[in-house]
Amino acid sequence: MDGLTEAPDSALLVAVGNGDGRAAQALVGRLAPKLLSHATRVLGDKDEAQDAVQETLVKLWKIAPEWRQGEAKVSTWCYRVLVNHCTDRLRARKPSVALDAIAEPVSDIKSAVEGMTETARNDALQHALGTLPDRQRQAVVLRHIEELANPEIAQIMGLSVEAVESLTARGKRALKQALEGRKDELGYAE
Amino acid sequence: MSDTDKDDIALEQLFSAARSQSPAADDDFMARLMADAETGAAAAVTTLASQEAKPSRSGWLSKLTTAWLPASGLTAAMAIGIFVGASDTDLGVSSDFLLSDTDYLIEDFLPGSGFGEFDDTEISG
Repeated sequence: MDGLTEAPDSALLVAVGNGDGRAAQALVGRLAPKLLSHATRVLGDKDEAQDAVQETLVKLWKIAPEWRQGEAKVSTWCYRVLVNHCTDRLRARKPSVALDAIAEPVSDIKSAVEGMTETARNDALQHALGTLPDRQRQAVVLRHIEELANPEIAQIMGLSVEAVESLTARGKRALKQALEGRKDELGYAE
Repeated sequence: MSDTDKDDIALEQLFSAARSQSPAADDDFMARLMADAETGAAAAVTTLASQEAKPSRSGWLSKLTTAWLPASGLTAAMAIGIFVGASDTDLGVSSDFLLSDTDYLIEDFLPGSGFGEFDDTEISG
């Protein structure tokens, strides 16, 4: 294989700025799955997520001629643009989950989760994520599913590290509450 | 184990399930992105070429200035070199003027050039 596989993202992007289509395709292979994962978790809609990722990458190609190595991480830049696209799309929607749809909490999420299949766990989490405010949802997905470090999330979301910690902590509490309120769907009873 | 700890474990199990079942990018979508990538790279090089072909006003001024300065320095150095070199010959030219406080006029170096005619001329507007 050629040097594309070993080259850092920023070197590939500089090559894109010089018209290298293969470098652009190598970047798509690296970045698109991660970006799509985030957008799908946050938006909860495959088509919308794909559109958001496509828009993000088109923007990346546009800034490629001005990209300077060492100024920023390409993936951080992409996440930042994607987070903004997702926020715009979420704001354009009506709230999908009414507050009164969250039922009374039950005592034990753990036993319920242990009895679920992987797919059911995935679905339960996706549903619970949908109940979180936009910023909390994005922060929780970046931290606990994409497993990014808090300083990088802070850069992506334009917040301080402390604010990210607070956002993810509140997000986790809200997730627990949302899961506790869905005892029927989770397949257990008191 | 407290209820909070149990909840944290349960939540981590859900996160773990989510990580292991990342939404897959289907072939059509990836093909779309790859086509965009080709187009984007081609457009990027066009953008770069147009930026280079259209220099800014400050750009050409800067180039003009930087080109003029070495040329003027070179001319001055050549002129001084000629005088210093000529001072050791019998051309009647001396380089003492470089070291003394005496005022010199062009007529002193080029007798008969006519520059002396302007020495006492008042410029009237």
